[in-house]
Amino acid sequence: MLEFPAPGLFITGANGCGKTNLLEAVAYLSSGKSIRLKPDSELVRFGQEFFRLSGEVEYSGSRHTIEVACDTNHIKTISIDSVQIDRLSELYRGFKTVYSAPGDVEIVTGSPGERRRFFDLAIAQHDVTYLDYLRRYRQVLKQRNQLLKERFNRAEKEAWDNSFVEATLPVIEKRLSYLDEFRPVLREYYRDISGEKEELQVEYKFEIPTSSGEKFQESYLKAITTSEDREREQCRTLFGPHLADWDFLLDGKRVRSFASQGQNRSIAIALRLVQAEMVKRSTGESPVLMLDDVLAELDASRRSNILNMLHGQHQVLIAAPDIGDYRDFNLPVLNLTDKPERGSVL
Amino acid sequence: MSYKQLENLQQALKKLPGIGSKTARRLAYYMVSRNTGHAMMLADAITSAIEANNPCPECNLLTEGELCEFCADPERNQSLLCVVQDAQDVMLIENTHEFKGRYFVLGGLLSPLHGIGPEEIHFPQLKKLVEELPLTEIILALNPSAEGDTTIHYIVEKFETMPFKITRLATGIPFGGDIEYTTPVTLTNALFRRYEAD
Ligand SMILES: Nc1ncnc2c1ncn2[C@@H]1O[C@H](COP(=O)(O)OP(=O)(O)OP(=O)(O)O)[C@@H](O)[C@H]1O
Ligand SMILES: [Mg+2]
Ligand SMILES: [Zn+2]
Repeated sequence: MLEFPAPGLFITGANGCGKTNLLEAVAYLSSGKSIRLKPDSELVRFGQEFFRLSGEVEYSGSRHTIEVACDTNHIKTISIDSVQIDRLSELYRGFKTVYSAPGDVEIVTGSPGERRRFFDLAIAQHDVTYLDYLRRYRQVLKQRNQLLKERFNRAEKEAWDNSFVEATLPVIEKRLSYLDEFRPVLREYYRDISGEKEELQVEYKFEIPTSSGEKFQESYLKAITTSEDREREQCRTLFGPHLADWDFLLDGKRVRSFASQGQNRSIAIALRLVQAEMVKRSTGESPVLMLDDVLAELDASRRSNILNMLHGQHQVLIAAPDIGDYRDFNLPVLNLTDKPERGSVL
Repeated sequence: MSYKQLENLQQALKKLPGIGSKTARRLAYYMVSRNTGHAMMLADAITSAIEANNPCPECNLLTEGELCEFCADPERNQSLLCVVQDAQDVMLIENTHEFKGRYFVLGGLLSPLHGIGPEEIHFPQLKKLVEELPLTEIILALNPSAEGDTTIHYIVEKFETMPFKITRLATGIPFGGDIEYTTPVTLTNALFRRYEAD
């Protein structure tokens, strides 16, 4: 049992003492998955056959108990207030966490898939209907890709094309409306982090050419005809939200080609802070914000700007091997080096 | 009885929809150990039901006779056709006592992942029936899923020039359902297809 004070906790200790483990356990209660994208089998303690995790958390104005059990066959059961849930998406409605780690720099510099994963999860946290639409879209996509591998008749193809376009629309609409709200906050936060020096822009990048004024519905219908031969050749769908991307521009220049390491790291942190702010806007409640050793490599002014921005904002769990800059933040300190290692028990 | 036979029985039961390993084992033990009379009756019932039943040539519903009871009944409204996925859906709709027309059982929904195309859902047979009946409306009582919606698109497209209207079931909150536990998409649909309260 471990209690997290309302303002948050500073978790410290030597490398390998279990700081990330502890944060991972907290995050698991909000997503039912590992933040490090590990399979459940790897979360089971060495030499053990199953894991159990439970936490008492506060959301929607009251306290709730979330329990996770993963047995030897890695079948997991999750319950909220002793009622077992059928789908992980039910977790998304309640307890919300935002986890920021050095690896997030991949969102900025990595492949488009990294950005899709970031935005898809952030949007789902902000608007639970998004997951249903995304799930529908993925199902239609899977079916359509299979169809493209086979002989099909024209009307059958048209039926799947119709379903496909129908399923893309809500996904794109939700991505765009999320971005409309996200963009100004990101610009403001990034200005604060960089000390009013830099302007950060973000744009949704359609995977097919969309002439301005044209509805994306029309662009898709056009793309279906124009890419038919190539789609048949490659046996898969060559356009749609599963291939879209987001572009970051710093003072008008593409971040992926121009930004420095520190700038990339600052952007990655800013993204998480905005994600947390968006949760707060949609639910009226602050999520638990976790910063896992993300300030290393930043210059002193950026470090202190970020810490200043956090003050009184969310419950923050900060993990770092040394207290250093964080001392001024005045959070209660938990030093894991002193404790016997106990896996992911909270 | 050998262990092997019990194992076979268990495996066969496990293949039934809705039956897991545990239930299959329990049922298998029950059949061979305690109530063998009941089990024999069940075996007979299964055999005779299977032997006596063939798909109705008009609608695919399983039937003992030449035509099924609905296709053979002149009292059924010949201008209404309800298209369903499975035979069990017919029973569900019959139980509402609200529908007095004819049925057609597709036997599946379009699903390339399962190798199901227009032929597999008996579309040619549906087309033939539709041309023979003096229809004013076809009701597509299919699940609102990726596969169900696509099947609806397909049928609508194919019958575009026909002189009847094509409707689908409203999707929304079930009776006795709770708005709080309705998935957001269902709720959005329910809002979208709301109707006047009187
Ligand atoms: N399944 C497991 N069972 C038991 N121990 C594990 C398991 N998986 C990882 N560990 C160990 O848990 C320890 C804690 O790892 P964790 O990543 O939480 O450390 P950390 O405090 O965040 O370190 P750092 O400061 O280097 O980030 C590691 O030594 C790791 O080897
Ligand atoms: Mg760590
Ligand atoms: Zn019949």
